[in-house]
Amino acid sequence: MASKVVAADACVLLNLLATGRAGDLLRALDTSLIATPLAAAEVKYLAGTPDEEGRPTRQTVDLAELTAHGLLEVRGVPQAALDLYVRCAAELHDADASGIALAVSFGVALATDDGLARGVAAREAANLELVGTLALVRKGSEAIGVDQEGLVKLARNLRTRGNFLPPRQDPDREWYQRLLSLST
Amino acid sequence: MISSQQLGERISQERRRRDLTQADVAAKLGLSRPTYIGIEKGERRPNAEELVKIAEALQVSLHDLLKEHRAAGEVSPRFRFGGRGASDVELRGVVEKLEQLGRRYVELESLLGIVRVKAPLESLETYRTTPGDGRRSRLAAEDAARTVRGALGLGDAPAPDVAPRLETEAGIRLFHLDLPSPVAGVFIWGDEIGACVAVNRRHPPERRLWSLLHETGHFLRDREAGDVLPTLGPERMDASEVFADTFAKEFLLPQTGLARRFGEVFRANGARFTIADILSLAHTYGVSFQAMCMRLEELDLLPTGTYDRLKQQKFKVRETEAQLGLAGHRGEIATLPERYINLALAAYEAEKISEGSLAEYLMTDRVSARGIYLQRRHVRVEDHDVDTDIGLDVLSLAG
Repeated sequence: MASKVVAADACVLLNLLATGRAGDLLRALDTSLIATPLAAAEVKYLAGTPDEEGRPTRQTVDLAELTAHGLLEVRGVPQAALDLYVRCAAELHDADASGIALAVSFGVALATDDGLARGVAAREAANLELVGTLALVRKGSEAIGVDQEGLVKLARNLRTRGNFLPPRQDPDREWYQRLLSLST
Repeated sequence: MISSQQLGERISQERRRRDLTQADVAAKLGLSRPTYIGIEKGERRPNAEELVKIAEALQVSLHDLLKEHRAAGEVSPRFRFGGRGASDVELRGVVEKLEQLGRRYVELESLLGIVRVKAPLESLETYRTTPGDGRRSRLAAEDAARTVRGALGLGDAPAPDVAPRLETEAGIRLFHLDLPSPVAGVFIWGDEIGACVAVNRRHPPERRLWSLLHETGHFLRDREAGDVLPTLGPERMDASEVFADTFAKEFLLPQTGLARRFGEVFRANGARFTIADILSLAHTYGVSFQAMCMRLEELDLLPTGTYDRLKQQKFKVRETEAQLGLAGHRGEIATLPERYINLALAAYEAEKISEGSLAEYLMTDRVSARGIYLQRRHVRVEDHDVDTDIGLDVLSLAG
């Protein structure tokens, strides 16, 4: 049983799956995730290998492995957080709004990389702790002791399988871009 | 926050779209009908729990009901279904899809502070509901084609790449959708969303172009009526269809320009005109072999019945085109207009919409939406990732 719980939105769930090491990272962080059914339903595809003509393809993914290992629990927005959910949904896609409501109702941090979601969360729940994909990946890989080659692979997976571009203000953006530059 | 009245109107609009009665929805919510009617009238604002249930009952997202920038997007009530080769259910689905895309287009403009101004050709009232019989409609349509060509500065030259011009000069929002096979094109009009055209993306480029011009004819003449263009052509050639059909023909194959080009080829060939020449002209004008044959016959430049005779002889158009190197690119065609995609990316970049909404606007999944964003907004230079804000207003760089 992990000692820390973090609410994850769809973009972070996709990013963690894109690394190919979501389970390892979460276990190293002693963290489990909660996510709403709406967010989980958005986790359908990662980018696949381009076809012979260079066109993008999709690779089907799901969260079954994370849930099976107790690293993810899908939970609906509790009744008490419906007001917040509805307020957030005025600006955000329902799946993104529901993540904020879930995090606040359980008193846990919210993992999101979405610029608008972070802004709405900061306004609607000033005390809500926000974390990004890169912070989870960086700390998790440090805890595991991933070497440089492994880090480059993680970053490359995030980019190629997740089409991930961190928010401009992400403190770990430089770290990610440096790793990507090493992959060329 | 939107007002209770706006919210009530949206709920009512969504209910009507789904052909549900007020009693149906009230029962699903466990509310009395008068209480529910009060919500639709804006007299009573639903609480959060009720709102979540309403969204579920109407199969609409909370965000769609609550967002500030939602466009009403009602299309003309004169739109008629039936008798168009596809089932009413299929057609209703297509029209709803096009309506939704039109609304989203307006929302994106609104989010970015772009106020839709009438495109130049939108103000052209000369051909609105041209009165009279087929002959008058035909003459009016030929005149309209010349006028629009003049406005676009095309003279009587071939115009196979006119689609983007119609988007900017006529304000037509053009989508390429997977329409039911009996449907070649759909046109809808609404005060807020303007003109929206869907052409069947499964059709070849020349057919899509013809469908677009046919719907442009309706846009000029009777935009409030809407139109569904059957793949096999209109079933009834009433004045409206005569106008739209003639407009497409005269616009794409203008009599004077085509006759001159025919004459040039005829002269250069030593008073001969071959099947290869017909194919070459069709390619130049962006129309089908059949359309070019029929037009040349109509202009008395080919013997009447030429096309029918070639068809009887099982002439293979596509194979011959390929042999002559005239087969155009028939690869993937984008569903959404370029400008629409760029607006969605700009709204996401400006943090006006979240990732989930971006994916919805781009009609794809999240990671694919990110891929489109990366491809268009992010340039990789040597070994560095560089953000390139393609949406940057370069005029603001002056001084």
